[in-house]
Amino acid sequence: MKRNLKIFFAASFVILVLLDLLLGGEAHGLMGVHFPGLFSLFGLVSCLIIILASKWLGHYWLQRKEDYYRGKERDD
Amino acid sequence: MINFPPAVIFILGALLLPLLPGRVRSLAFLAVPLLTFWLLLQMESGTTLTVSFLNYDLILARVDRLSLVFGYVFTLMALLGGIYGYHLKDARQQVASLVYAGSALGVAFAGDLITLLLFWELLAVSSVVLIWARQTPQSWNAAMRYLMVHVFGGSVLLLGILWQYKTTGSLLFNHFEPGLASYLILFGFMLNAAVPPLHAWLPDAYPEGTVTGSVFLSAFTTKVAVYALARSFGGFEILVWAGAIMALYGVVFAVLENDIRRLLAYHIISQVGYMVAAVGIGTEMAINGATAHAFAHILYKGLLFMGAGAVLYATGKSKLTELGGLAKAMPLILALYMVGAFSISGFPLFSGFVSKSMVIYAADLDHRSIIALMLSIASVGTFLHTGLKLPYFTWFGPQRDLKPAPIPKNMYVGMALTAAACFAIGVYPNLLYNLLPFPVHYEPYTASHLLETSQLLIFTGLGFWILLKKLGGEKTITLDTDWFYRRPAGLAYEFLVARPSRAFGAVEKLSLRLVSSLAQASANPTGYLLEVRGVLRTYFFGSVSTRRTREPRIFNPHRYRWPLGTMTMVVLLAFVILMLLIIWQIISNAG
Amino acid sequence: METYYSILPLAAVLVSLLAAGLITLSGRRPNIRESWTLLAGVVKFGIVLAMLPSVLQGRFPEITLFAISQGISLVLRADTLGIIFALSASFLWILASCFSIGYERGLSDHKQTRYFSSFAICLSATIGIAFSANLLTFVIFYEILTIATYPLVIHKETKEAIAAGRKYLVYLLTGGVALLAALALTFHTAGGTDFKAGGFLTMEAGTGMLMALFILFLVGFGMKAAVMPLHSWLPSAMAAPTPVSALLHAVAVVKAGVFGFARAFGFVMGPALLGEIGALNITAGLAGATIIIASLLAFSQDNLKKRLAYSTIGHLSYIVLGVAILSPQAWSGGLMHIVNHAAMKITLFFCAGAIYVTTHREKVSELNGIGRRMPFTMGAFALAAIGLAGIPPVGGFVSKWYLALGALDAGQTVYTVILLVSGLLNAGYLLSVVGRAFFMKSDNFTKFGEASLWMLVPLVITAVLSVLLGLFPDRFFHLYSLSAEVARSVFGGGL
Repeated sequence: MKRNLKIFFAASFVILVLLDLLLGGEAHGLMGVHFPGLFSLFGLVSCLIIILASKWLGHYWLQRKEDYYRGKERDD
Repeated sequence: MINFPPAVIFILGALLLPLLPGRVRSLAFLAVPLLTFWLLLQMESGTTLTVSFLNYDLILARVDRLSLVFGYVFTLMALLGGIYGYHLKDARQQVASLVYAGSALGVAFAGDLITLLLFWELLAVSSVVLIWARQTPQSWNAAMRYLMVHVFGGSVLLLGILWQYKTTGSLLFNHFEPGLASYLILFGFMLNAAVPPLHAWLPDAYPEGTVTGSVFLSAFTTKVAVYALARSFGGFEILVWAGAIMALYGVVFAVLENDIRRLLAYHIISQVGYMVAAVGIGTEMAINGATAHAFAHILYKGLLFMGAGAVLYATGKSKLTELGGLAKAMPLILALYMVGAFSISGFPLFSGFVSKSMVIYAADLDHRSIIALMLSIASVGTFLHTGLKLPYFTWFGPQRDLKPAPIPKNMYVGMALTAAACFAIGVYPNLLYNLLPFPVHYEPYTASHLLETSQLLIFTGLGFWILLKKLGGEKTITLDTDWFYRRPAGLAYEFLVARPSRAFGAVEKLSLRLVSSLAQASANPTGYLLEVRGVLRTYFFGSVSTRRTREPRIFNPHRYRWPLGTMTMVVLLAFVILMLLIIWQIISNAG
Repeated sequence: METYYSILPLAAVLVSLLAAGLITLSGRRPNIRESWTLLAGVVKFGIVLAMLPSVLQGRFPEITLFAISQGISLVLRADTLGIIFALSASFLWILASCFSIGYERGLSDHKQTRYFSSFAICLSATIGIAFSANLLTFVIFYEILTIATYPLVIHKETKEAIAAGRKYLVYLLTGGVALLAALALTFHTAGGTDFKAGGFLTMEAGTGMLMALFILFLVGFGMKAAVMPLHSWLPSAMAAPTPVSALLHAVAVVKAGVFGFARAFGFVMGPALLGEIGALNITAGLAGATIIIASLLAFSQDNLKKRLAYSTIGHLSYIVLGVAILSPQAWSGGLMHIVNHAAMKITLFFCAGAIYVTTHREKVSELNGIGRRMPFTMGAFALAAIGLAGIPPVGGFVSKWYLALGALDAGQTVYTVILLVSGLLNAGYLLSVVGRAFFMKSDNFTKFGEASLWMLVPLVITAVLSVLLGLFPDRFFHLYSLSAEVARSVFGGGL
């Protein structure tokens, strides 16, 4: 399974970059920048950053035990 | 041409529904949106229906392309939600859902601010029922918080409307000029749209709704607010940034979420961010984008909540830490859910592909690269959570030995129809584009767009796979801005309610005692004074003496009463003197 | 102001007095006794209604009962302000009587004859207050009302009830003394006490005298209107049977207090005058504080009737606020609230009574799940609660709108904010009861059903009325036109 996935990712990268070179002429890109494979890199990097940054935020600040609010609220 | 507020059909339907027997009710529920569809098709753009109320003119039906497109999607979702909830026996929820959907329509077609306010408040009041109906202590508290927050938002909105009326004399619901009044109204709209920091009610309350109720919840309140923003705050710069931040905010918080419906709720915030940003940009392309995205979002978000609701229905659980391995048992739900996931992620051939990109394109056209960047990053996050993390840990992942209960057929049908709609829009975008307020100059299926999207999605998948181990649910909750009113709630109660109450209670007891003393004193003045003398004596001189001549424990007032005759004489005398004085006054005044 | 001689105002007052006598005589035949009440209610309402068309045209029926000398006479006149109060009180009496019948019989209560005859006398006094054409007549009927309600407050004859009754008398009679002083001073200053739209006192009287008069009126009327800190009798008076609390302490007695404020501020002293001496700000401040404090205190009350009592205290100050703000809109709003609040609050009290008779529960915390068994009762409760929170389309929204707008117009935005905050608090302490009733699980009530029709029908009617007042405020007895007309005449004359 793992090997298949690795092959899949590698192959799709190659194919998409090729297609990008061939067809992606007037693509608008990001912030004015565009190169073949930009969005692959962007997808991967953003994904990693989102996960890592959010987890950091959570572990160092925002996450609490499930019963955090119990006892502080009023049952009216 | 018939010009009738569609909201009224829903509300009348809601009033009639409880009178019908159980089986007929679900059917009647479906009849309402169908009838409304027919009505919408008859309505002509550019017409209005005005009634007078006191000395104001209420515009109950203002028909134009913007209101019609929202009208269609609200009605459609009411129908799909009704099919999904066909098995419900709970009349409270059915009535509330109809009033809720009807109020959404009411806002969509409102031409003046009083009508807007009426339906806005009804939205809040009817939707809280869908949360209460879950009937757990947690959902009860969440419902009360939801209600309070929305009544608060409604109050600010009312203040803004009053101010608007006072300063401009107009109650028309059209584009607003910046000013105190419009900022207050904006506050009210943003609260319903769940713009941070006014958003915390959404992830707090939506997961606590019932299985069918949350489907309705996800569809209406926020999108009604988007409509309202599009109608009256197009081009307000603050919305662009608010929207972009929203889009990322939702995604960040969703990473930390354990409850699948709360995760989806945070994604509502994220997706609405696209719409809010687009409204802020304000160009025709942007408004088109906001509308298209709202339309698509109502459908695919409904579908996602239907899927998560089905999981909840079948297993009784909604936490990632408690779910897993359901693929064998619930494959169809997974497939239908994935249609929703593909749509929200913007997969080609699904509705998100043709709507989300219109927003980003509008941002690009307006030279807002940073915004476009932020929205694109949010796209990554969306696919990550909704398309990868949630389905993986719910249907795959560790086996938890869950035995899911069978799911009613109508839920499958509802989901399938909604999925079909998402697919149809994706494959044939003109279905949606033809409804949009402005002419559409956008072609989603270009080579570069397809390439871009494929790369984005596939490599987000790579990132997911790499960090898979870190992504499982954790048994925690995340603090959000609702901390500000939840944490101090106990303290607030203590200082604003409990302590004043005790103080007032003490004053009341004191007054009761004073009154009782007064009564005793006036009943028998001498006796009372004697008793007071006795008490004072004991205080100051100590009760050393135990002589029997002290006042007996049982106080006998008759020993000290003045004879009746004497009292009568005194009172009569006083009265006569008083009368003489009055008569003398009258005479001297008249003379 | 155009008046014409008519016996109708007197008839309206006397109908229930006559009925009181008949009720006392038919003590042994309960059905006949009750029919006197109902008959009197319908006739009274009919008489008041009959006067409405001419009042709307600006022609007021008037009758002089006694004329002792110049400036001292007992005169009844049905004017715009008075007819608003009279219509609501007489109409709601009919419903309250039906409810009383169900309530008293449901509890097999004692001393029912005393109950019904006292009630009838109270309504006489109330209509008398409504139609008083001058301050002297007003004060006389005002005091009669206090005394006539005493037997009803102590009706249960428990220790608590008698203590409450004693407190009630002390508070209200003290207020009465203040009013007597005010009456004497007014007569001394102006030589007469006839009500005149826009006020008949002027700055000639001197600020000191005017201030003294204002304070006396404030104490005198503030007692019945439960303005803090003079409010304490009202929660204690909840020891009375629920229909008494419903009609008298939501519609008649307390509304007589705010009505008194309207008369004093609009027909004796005039808003402009009061504004000049700073009295309006004092009153508005007290009313505003009352609104907020009462709403906060309502949260802490587990006893349902006590919670409703604090809610009433808050809403009465809405009306006081309305007449204490220099704006016709605020006046309109306040006067409409007299009727709107009456309809909504009486619904809530009716519900509380129905619940008590059926289940003997008095506490909010015991009401979990009762909505299942009493859906109509709690449904009516929900409607009234929504209205008191100021949420459309129920009537409370309309009065709140005008009050808030009026406050904005007069530049007193803080009161607009206070009203909005109060709406929020109302939603909290009332809708939580609804939530509890419908959405908390409990098995406690399986053997109960709805209360008897004598109680159920009136509360449904008042709930529906509250909604209708919100949707069609002017259709019902021209409430909006009447209120606006009073506001116009008060400001037109004074300013």
